[in-house]
Amino acid sequence: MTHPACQSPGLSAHQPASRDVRLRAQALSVAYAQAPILSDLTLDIPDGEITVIVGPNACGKSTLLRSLARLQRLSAGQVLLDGKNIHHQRSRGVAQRLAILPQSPTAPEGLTVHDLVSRGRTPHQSALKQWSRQDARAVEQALERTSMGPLAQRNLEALSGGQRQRAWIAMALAQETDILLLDEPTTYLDLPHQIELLTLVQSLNQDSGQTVAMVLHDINLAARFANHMIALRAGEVFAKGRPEQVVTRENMAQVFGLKCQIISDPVHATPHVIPE
Amino acid sequence: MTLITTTASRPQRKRIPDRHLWLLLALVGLALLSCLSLRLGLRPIGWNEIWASFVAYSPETANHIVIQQMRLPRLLAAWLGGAALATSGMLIQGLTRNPLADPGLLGINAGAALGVILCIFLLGISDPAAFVWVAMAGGLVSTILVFLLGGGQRGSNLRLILAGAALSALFLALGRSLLLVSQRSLDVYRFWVLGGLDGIEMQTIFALLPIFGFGAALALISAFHLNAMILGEDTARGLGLRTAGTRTLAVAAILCLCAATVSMAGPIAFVGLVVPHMARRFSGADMRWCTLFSALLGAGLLMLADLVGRLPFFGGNMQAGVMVALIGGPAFVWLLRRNERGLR
Amino acid sequence: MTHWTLRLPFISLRLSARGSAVALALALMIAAGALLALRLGTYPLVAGTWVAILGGGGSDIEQMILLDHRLPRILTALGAGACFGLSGAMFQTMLRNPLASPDVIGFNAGASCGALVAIITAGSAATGGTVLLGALLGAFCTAVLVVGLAWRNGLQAERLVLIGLGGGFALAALSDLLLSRTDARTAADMTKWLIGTLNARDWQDVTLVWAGLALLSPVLVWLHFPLARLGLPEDLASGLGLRLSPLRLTITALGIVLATLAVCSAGPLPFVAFAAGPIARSLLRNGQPALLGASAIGALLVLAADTAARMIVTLHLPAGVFTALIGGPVMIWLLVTQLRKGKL
Repeated sequence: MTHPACQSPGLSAHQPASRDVRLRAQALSVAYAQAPILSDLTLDIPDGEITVIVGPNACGKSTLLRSLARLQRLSAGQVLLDGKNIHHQRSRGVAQRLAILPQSPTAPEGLTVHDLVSRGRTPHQSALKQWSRQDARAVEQALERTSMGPLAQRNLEALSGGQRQRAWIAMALAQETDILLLDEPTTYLDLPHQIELLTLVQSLNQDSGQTVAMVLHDINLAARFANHMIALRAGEVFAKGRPEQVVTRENMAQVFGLKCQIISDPVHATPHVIPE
Repeated sequence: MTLITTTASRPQRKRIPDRHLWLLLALVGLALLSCLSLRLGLRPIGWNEIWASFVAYSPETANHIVIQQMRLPRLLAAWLGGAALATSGMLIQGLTRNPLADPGLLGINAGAALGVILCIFLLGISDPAAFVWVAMAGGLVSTILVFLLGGGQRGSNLRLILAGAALSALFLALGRSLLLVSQRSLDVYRFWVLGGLDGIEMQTIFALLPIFGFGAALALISAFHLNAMILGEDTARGLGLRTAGTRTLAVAAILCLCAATVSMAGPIAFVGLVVPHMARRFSGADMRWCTLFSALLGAGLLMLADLVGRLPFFGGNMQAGVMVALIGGPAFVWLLRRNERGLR
Repeated sequence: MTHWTLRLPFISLRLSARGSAVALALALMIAAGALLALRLGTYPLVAGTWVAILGGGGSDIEQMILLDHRLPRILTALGAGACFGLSGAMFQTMLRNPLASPDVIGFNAGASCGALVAIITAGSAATGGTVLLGALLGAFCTAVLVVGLAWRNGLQAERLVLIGLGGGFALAALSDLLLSRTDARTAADMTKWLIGTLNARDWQDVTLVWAGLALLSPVLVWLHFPLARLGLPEDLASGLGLRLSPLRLTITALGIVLATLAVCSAGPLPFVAFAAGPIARSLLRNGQPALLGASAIGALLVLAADTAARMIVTLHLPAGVFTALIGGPVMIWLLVTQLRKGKL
């Protein structure tokens, strides 16, 4: 859990030795009705870092994330979690180590925030052990970290978009996994809320060393919050590495077909894309 | 989003010429079916005579009377009823975003049935011609009740569904208990409820035609609106639509179409619920195409059902409402199975 | 909302104050209803004599009325209602659709159709046993067929719903066809069976439904936990470690068995399976599937319907008429009160 890379940001450029990476895709291919979506992808999700997957629409970002979370049928290759094929492990056991939050999920009607967040405890519960002390503590903590505590008894439908998204994140946190996968967690949020949410994710990563992998649309936000970036194009990895290695003029032209200038963000010194 | 765009865009690009081809096929099929349904029956009538009955109608020729007084009204009724039911099914499913919604959910069928039963029970009327307007009134009242109970313009889908189902069940049970009490009502009602196309008169169809037309116009407008609503309510508002108005509009369209159909042919199940799903296999997600295909498929299916029901094998008088499900059910399952990509 | 937590070494449960209060109230209502139903009837039995009769005392007539008529009938009603409620709530929760009760998605139609075939093939030799066997076989075949056809890379909820819908309509139409092919007497028998009645229940029915419930209850208790999480989006549910296809298969199988038990013992009573879940959920208001609540509401509904049917002797109305007459207003009342409170 306490990987050295997450304690000092300066070390985050260091790629962990590939044998102790917990989540990795090997020669991964996904096809849907004979149309290939991902072809022959091999990549690592570095432990204790924030990995952001970027790419144009329809390049297979979400499919990659779903594949990493064993939600996608693979046509070839495998995903390894802790060195073993993720599809051959007990789903419950996987869920204790890896959480995924799909894009803009919808909750059943009439659920309160607390109910929703409690559902995140599912892999740690059973029909007999439905509410242990550990469960109560994890839910409290998740609510607190997302500052949803005061809203815990509110109905989910009564919340604003930003609050609702935080509730979903809290649910994924309550799952208490080492690895957290997020699919476009900033959809439908305005810029301040996007920043707030990503800062929350960053603090989770820094405080408890949680490995985070997420899909983001906004390259600039991705560059600012990522330690590690993966750029996909047409189902293949086009570039990966530190943000300044991935977000370059040539890569943006190749991946997005976007002519742009790259400047250094005056506040955070991360690469910033200015489209021409 | 990535997954959806990838998976949907690729096959659809290939499908657009398909859509026109399917449309052509459907129209040709409908024309053929129409001809056949004029020709076939308890006794087949030759093409020459069918043609003659249109251009040189003589009231003395028995076959001319059969064509003009019986088979033609039946054919028109199948066209109108099938298209109307399927279109309104499409609308209610789009409106409630529930694939299990049926136009009967708004209480039209149950209201119409209760209206007819009350009319027989209280007023002692047993003339089917009078039922048209009673059924219409019953459908109107119960739909308004369902709409109000469902929260009116701003209600949620769940509310509308629950209100509709509860009220329909209540009305049906009320009607049924009246029938069980009064044998006389049952004798008259029995024939109305079977949902047949026989015995429909040309006058009735002409009288109902304006309502069908008005309903169709409303349906087209609301299909256009619902199409924009799929993009999200905000986008729809951005496009200048009033989302609350769309709800009312769609309900009004469904009311006109279904009330006219039920008062003409009695309650016919299946068409409104399942045909839209069949249509979606051919049309893709665009509501306007979907509405078009629903109307054509609905008309075709009802016509086919009516035709097959008339065949000697089924005794020559099997109700179209029964045949529709008997033919359509397996066809629907087959369509679902055939579709490689499942339900996207 | 207040909660109590129960923690033992291997067991921990969380009970909400509201849930416990509702459960207690429902249990009291069922007990009171059952006692009232025992007392009511054309032959008055004073409460004080019950104990004596149960102990073997009382006159022969009293013995017969209590032990052979009222008690089995009430127990069957309670058991069948609980089965209907459970089955409906399970399907609605699993399929995430308030309309997806077993009577909508075709499983009741399968049981009814099987029973009809049994009545027809056995002819005059038809006994309760044959009908029961027919219904069981019908439901089983439908279930295997629907699930088999819907299975592709696992059991998808929407496929299951749509295939069930198409199959259900076809089977209902088949029942109509069968009805129209038989002589009037058999048809009358079948119609009565199709509405659902609790006339002349004996201890065989009681054993069937209650033994079934007792056998299945451990599985139900176990299923409540994953079922509460199936309301979440699919990806999220799998992400939380639930294995969707095996779970759905188990729930479908169990739901069908429950629905069949109910249909076999009380006939396809309308509206109970549909209404019990929503009524229970709106009483509990915790976003849970409310299986216990749904079974209690179902039991209450059927008991009330059957008691009403028994009370109004002169009309000879089957219980199937009253389920909607009683359940419909309850649901509408809930909708209206919640509209006022701005909930739902």
